Amino acid sequence: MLLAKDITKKIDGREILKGVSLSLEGGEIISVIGPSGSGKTTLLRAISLIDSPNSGFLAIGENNYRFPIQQTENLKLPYPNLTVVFQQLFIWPHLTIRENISLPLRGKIDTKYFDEVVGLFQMDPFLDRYPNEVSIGQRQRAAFARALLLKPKYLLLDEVTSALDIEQSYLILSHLKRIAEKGVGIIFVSHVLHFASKISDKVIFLDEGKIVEEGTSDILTNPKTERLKKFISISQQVI
Amino acid sequence: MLGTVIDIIIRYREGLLSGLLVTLGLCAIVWLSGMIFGVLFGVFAHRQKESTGFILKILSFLLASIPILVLLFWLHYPLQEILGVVILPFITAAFALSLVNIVGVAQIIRDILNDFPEQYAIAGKVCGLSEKEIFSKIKFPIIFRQVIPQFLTLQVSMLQLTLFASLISVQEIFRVAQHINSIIYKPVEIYTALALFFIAICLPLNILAYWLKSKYTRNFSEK
Repeated sequence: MLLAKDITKKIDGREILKGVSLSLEGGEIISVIGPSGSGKTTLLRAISLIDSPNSGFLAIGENNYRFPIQQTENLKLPYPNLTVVFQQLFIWPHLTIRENISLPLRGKIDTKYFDEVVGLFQMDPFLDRYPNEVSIGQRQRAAFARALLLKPKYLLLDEVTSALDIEQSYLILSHLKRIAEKGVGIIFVSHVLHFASKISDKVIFLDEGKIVEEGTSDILTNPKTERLKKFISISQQVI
Repeated sequence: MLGTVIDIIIRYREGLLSGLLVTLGLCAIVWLSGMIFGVLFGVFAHRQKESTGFILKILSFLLASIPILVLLFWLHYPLQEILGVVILPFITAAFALSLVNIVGVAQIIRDILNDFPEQYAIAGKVCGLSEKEIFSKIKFPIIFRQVIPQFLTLQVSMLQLTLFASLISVQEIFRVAQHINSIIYKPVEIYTALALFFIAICLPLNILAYWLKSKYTRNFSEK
């Protein structure tokens, strides 16, 4: 289980996260939605320990972290049990796609699983090309594959469909369900409400660094708070 | 003319060879100091932006404002007179050119390190790679590919700058060529021979820099 309690995060003296709590079970998909600047990416970076929270408590599997961390020496990091796929992907530019997805495995490649993941994301045609020689959709699939090959227990996704068209987004998101079915807990940050309602077990609406509303995907059709109603209304008008 | 050029090279081979050896010796010192101290200076300037980085900035501005010839003359005449010491012209030239090279290399290293997208390292971290693995398999190869063409181009320029050492009486190849010319007065042939020496050394280096640039600095920008 991944448990975050009262997480706060300040950046340049400004409080971006104001006591956010959430819990994620294996096999569960949580969508975090909210307007730009609401703290979605900061939340993801905080609970993945990329940017340590200023206060709060985090439990990732058997590892517990209380913030602020007093002693960073010998701190057991949760990677790759927990891993992140970023909005900008960060596929290493000097390595081919094959090398990109193999490097974190340190030569211990489970060939069957490797082929399964490569097949799942239809990566065979561009496996030996460099990142700048493939499309953004192909890089996106490579970033997913790199994360999945590590067999994480928790997968955090930051706006991973933002640069994709509807068809490619659908392809990626349809895989998320299958990944979750294998017991992987997924937190999915997105501004696309349609996808959030389709795939999520739980939806969290974040605004100004606080959870304003949370629940099943029903909250997207029957929001209780005025703020979420307004957000959904604006999103529908834009679409 | 080619026959005369070859004839001059053969006839004055000993003098030209000794001049070439001085040039290459000077070059080796300049290149090595740039490679060692320039890289270290650049890394420290990147890590300690407030202190070492500031010193590098000041030195870069100063050296960019002083022509190399003025620097050489100043180090050779006024400075030695002020200090009351006599230093061999070769050492003065090696010091001045090394200083220029160290600062040049440090600037290349610092700029590339400053511009390195840290997210590539974060991507490695969340994949469970250790700090050592991130450095050796991600950071270093990317940085190396970006540094090497600029580095080689600078080293070719440094080789060419060694010509200025002749003006403070260093017996390098240009000074030897001048000396031969003062005896036989055949400037076209002598300086053609000199050009051939430099082409023989600089051309392979320039080709190597170009090849490395085209091989390694692929357009990393994403389509």
